Amino acid sequence: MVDYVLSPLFNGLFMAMVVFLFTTGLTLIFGILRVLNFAHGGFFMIGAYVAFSVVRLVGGETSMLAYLAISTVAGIVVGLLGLVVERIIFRPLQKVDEAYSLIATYALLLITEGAVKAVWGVSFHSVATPDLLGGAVFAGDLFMPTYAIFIILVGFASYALLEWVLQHTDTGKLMKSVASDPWMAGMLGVNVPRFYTFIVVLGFFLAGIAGGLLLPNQTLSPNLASTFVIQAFGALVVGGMGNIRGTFLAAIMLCVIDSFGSLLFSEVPGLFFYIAMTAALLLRPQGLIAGARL
Amino acid sequence: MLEAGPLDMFYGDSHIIQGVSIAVREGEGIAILGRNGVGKSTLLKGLMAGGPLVRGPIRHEGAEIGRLSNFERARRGFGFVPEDRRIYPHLTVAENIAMSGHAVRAGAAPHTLDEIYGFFPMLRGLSNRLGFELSGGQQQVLAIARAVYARPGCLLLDEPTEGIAPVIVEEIAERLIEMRRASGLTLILAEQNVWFARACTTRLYLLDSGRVVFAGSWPEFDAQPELSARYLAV
Repeated sequence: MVDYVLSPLFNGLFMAMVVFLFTTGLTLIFGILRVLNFAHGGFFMIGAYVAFSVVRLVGGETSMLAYLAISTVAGIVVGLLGLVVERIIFRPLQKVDEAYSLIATYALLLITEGAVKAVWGVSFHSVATPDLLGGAVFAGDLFMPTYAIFIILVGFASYALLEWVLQHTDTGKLMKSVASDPWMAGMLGVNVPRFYTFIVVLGFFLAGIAGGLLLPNQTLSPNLASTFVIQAFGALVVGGMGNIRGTFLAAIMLCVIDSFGSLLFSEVPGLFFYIAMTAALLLRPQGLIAGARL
Repeated sequence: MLEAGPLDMFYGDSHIIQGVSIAVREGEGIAILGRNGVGKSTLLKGLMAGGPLVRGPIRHEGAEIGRLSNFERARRGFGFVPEDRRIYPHLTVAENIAMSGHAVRAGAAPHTLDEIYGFFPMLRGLSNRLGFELSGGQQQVLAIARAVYARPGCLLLDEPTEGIAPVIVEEIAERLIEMRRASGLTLILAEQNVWFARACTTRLYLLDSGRVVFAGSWPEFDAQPELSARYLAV
């Protein structure tokens, strides 16, 4: 029971929340600007490196509070980079075909990898988990690392917060309105370009904070940028291209199926993510939550 | 209040509007008449920076606004109701109306919802209904109410009567006439419905293939019945 049901379920859920936290900013930017940001992983990586540098600066050991504060700092730094990226790359992309954004943001991904190599070097680094999250909880025979429980909780809380903002606040309703019809929003007096800037900064902030939060779980290297890219795009596409709820559900579905699949067919780990993704797209090509933006 | 032209407007290589000049005084109502495809919508969208490439001067209250983007024009007091209405399906009627709060001019306040429901009583009972639950006629009235909410100085309506039940068309005409009288609203109306256009405006521009083929008052238009036969009859 534990080995074949609860444990893979827990692991799948943990991976799902890692993927979801990684993907929120990507989803937000794609949902509203229709720019598929290939460089998202690069900025997630920069967030992780910034957090790493701050950890080094304050002396290695980090308390829970410091870990959260450092992740927020990483979010702010990457958010500010987003401000620059929006001005010089995303804004011109608004005027051209969507295919150009793939090329431009892929180039940006290469630039982030090069920048990370130049600033932090190519050697591998890692950071200790904060003391409070270093342990594990046993529920019967089920082994649950505290850090994984924490990430699952943060994932669910982030989803609940984003969903609440989107459905019940004026800002969220404006986001949905601009996402579904930016032209009319402009006609009604909404400063759409400035709103896009705000969304990009927010999306990059989320990428950076995810980089900080997930840092204790990662080995830092310039390859980190592409670590979650496949899973992230899988969740984004299966979710219905740019809505938070769909991405959340798709991340859970794909990662939990993958977790069970990797357990049963341990010689092909990770394969079931693609099988689940293919099946989902064959059955619901429009995505889990279709039609709705955000 | 608005002097534009001669204007040329393009979509890609298509030269849609060719040397059109229009002018409207404060509080005046003008109609842009013509068959489908003569460029009425393009002209209105061009005035609102809403799509076509525009060449030529557009002066509003003495200032050149041709370089302003759509939201900046909206904030100068232009309320636009596009032909496809563009009601937000996920927002309630009240939230749709309040969206144009972004277009309120500096130092001014929007209408209250209660005032809006006073102008358009049919919306009062629908206040909490979502956009996608409305009929075409209700959406049209809502689109106008939404534009009016920001207290625009000039309302641009693109074929508000298209596909709308006659009883609602009459209702819309009454409201527009009343608002023009009460608040001195300037109106630029693109239409094919001559009865409606005549009821709401004092002058008209007749368009054919992107050019103005007649400009004048309604009596002048009536004095040349061949215009209607040639440029409006189906």
